[in-house]
Amino acid sequence: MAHRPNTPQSPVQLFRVFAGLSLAGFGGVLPIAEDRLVRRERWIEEHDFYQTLSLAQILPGPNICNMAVMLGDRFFGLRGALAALAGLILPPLLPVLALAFFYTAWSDSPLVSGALRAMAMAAAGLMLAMALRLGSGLSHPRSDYAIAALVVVAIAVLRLPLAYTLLGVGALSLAIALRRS
Amino acid sequence: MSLGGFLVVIPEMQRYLVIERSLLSPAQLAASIAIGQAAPGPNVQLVAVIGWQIAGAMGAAVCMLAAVLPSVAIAWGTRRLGARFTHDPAMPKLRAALLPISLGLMVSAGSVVASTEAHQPLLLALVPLALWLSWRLRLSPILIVVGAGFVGFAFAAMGWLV
Repeated sequence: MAHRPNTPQSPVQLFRVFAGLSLAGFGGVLPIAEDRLVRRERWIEEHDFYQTLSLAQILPGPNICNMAVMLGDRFFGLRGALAALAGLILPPLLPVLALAFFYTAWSDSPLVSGALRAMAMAAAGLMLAMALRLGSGLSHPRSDYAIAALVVVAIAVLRLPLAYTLLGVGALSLAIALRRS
Repeated sequence: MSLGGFLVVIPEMQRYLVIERSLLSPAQLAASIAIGQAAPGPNVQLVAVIGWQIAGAMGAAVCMLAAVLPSVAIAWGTRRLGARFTHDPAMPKLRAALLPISLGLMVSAGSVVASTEAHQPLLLALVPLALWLSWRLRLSPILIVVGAGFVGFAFAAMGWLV
């Protein structure tokens, strides 16, 4: 295991850093989380961050929350897990619910709905950009792209339930990963 | 129900909430995603916005708790188990097996959201534009989303959107 250059001082600091990155994380906290945790605080190395992330992503539920819990637990056990999770989730709830309230009040306006429809398309573009970033760091591009393509066909084209897709393609992906020496 | 992270669950939410149960219209789901992206915080907040649209403040609170608590408990338990097997040679392989799946799910999420405007080329064109602005110019997501909001507002004001 490579050395870890830095560690948080207390659960309170964990809460503060997670609240800060959460409130700064527009359009998904992940890029900000990577920047703050890997580069600014240096609590975790980049490859470790992405490996933890891919585990957090396959576990049920929101991956950044899973990640906050796993990182918080790594440093301060259950207290750290709760501190990181609370920092991540609670502070930004107020602005998002204010926006939701505003939207439900104005949803009949074609101007507001036009703006939101366009924003949803920007969100879609950002997700695809995120996928490109994920795809550019693969160590076994050929088999990885084939697995990713199977997932896209199952989920986006055939609209199969996620659970079946994960069981089927997950088993295949695992079999391929285990055969590599 | 939400195996696989959060944005990646969008296709599943669309399949279940919009197509199977008709709890939300496609437009409401897309608006929830837009609101989630326009506000700071984790993408799971989208669930609070959806809960709000279905059942107000209580709906937001219940949906948020339901989305977060069981899964973080599992994550915590997994981390406790994983911490014991950190040096197990199978661990990096398991993680390597998960990466291409995350990639496929992310592509699916982007495509499913984009497909809500499949009939509206003017809006659909914003998808590759946003991708390019983020991927090549590394513009911050909030600039891209808010910028798109102004563009959509202008399109609607010109009467170009059906």
